[in-house]
Amino acid sequence: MIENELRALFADRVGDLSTNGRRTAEVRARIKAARRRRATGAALAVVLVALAGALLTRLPGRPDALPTGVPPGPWFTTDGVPAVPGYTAPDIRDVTGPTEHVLVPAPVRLRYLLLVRCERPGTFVLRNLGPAGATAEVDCSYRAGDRFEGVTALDPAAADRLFSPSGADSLNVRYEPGSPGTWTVAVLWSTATVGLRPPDAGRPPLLDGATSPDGGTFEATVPPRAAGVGLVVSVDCVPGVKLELSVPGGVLGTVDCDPTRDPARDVGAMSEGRISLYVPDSDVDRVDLRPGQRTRITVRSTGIRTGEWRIVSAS
Amino acid sequence: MADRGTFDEFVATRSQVLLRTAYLLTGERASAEDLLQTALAKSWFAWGRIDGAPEPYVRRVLATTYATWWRRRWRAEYPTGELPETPVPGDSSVEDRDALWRALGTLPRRQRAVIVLRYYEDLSEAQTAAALGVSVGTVKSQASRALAALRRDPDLTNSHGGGR
Repeated sequence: MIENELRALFADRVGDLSTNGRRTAEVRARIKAARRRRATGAALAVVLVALAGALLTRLPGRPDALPTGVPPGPWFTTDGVPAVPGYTAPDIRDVTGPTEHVLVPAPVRLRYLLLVRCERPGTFVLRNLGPAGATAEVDCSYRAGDRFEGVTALDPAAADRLFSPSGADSLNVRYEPGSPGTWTVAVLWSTATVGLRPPDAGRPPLLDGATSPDGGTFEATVPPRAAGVGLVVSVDCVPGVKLELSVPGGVLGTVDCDPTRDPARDVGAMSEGRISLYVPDSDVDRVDLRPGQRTRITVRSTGIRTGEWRIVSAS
Repeated sequence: MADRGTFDEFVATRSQVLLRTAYLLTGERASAEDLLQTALAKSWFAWGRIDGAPEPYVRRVLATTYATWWRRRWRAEYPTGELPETPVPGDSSVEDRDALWRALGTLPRRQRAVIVLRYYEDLSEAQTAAALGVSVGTVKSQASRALAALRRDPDLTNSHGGGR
């Protein structure tokens, strides 16, 4: 029986195994090393999680250049309309081949997104027709339904180069689609400015956060009523600023410098770093204000504490 | 539950017994010591949670580490042409055992583990299954295949002038 032979073999083979007098110490050393590895492993796990997060931001739909706060794709609605919170789309064109256009930069310092939507994957090139020939490329490879999309962020300096005048000809840029079919190309402007936009020339602010970041007061005249609006207060501000406006008769409302509201749909939304509070007639009545009345308006900062805001007008 | 303070004592008093099992699993002294120390170090981390006597637990860690830790160097442990002990010419029992030892080295690791636990440790099929973390059915089939492979081994067949 081979089973019996195995038993005999095993008994024979283990008979003269020498002992290891250092085993306890060696096992202890292994335990120590294992504990060190475990600690290192835990640290490594944290690093790997961080790396995975970083990797995720580089997956299709999360280009490296995408500014913080811009969500992953798709960036267009199913109807092909750009839809990125915090951005508005003043320029949208459909092209099927190389075409030349006019693109101008915003009058204030903004961030831009160059969005493309295409039928087949390809690289889109936006080329300035000036002598410097600045270019921007967009990889249109992020699948969204039956189309592909892509996005590239442009900072103000890059946009200045891309959108600079080309010379005598008013056309200053060329769109160069990288694959057949219809391409939708949109240049989006951020609703917020990079920092506080510069003050309007010749019109000093009614109240400047630079000198009174926590708030203050200013005087205004209640305008004649128009279309149900009793008072409009315009404010330049950076995201995160919130200003509560009140008069002796009560609170008029709060200016919330939220850049994600769409100025194309919301008349009071931020655009080019400026936002307006529309106070309806009913609220003006509630605080006992009448057209033509001079009143003191108190501003109290309730958002982030910063001097990057100013009351531009109240009319 | 085992007190961690008793670990060193366990190593000092019981590890030599476990070394024998490790040796039969790996077939080589240095690898056996490596396997044993690895199993002991692994067990230390669970020492405070071991319910009952620690030896069965350590034996299980030993067996499963051997059977599953394929990346370790003892994975490729196969008998060589030169045996540590040279058989005495004409001693047929020594030659038979050497042939069996070599044949044992050709078995897949899990089959070898089953054979060692069943015929050296004298564990039942259920105990072997528990030690390896497999089903009793697996133990039966692995043991059956291992014994069949040993019976078919040409060295053993030749030394016995035919099958067993």
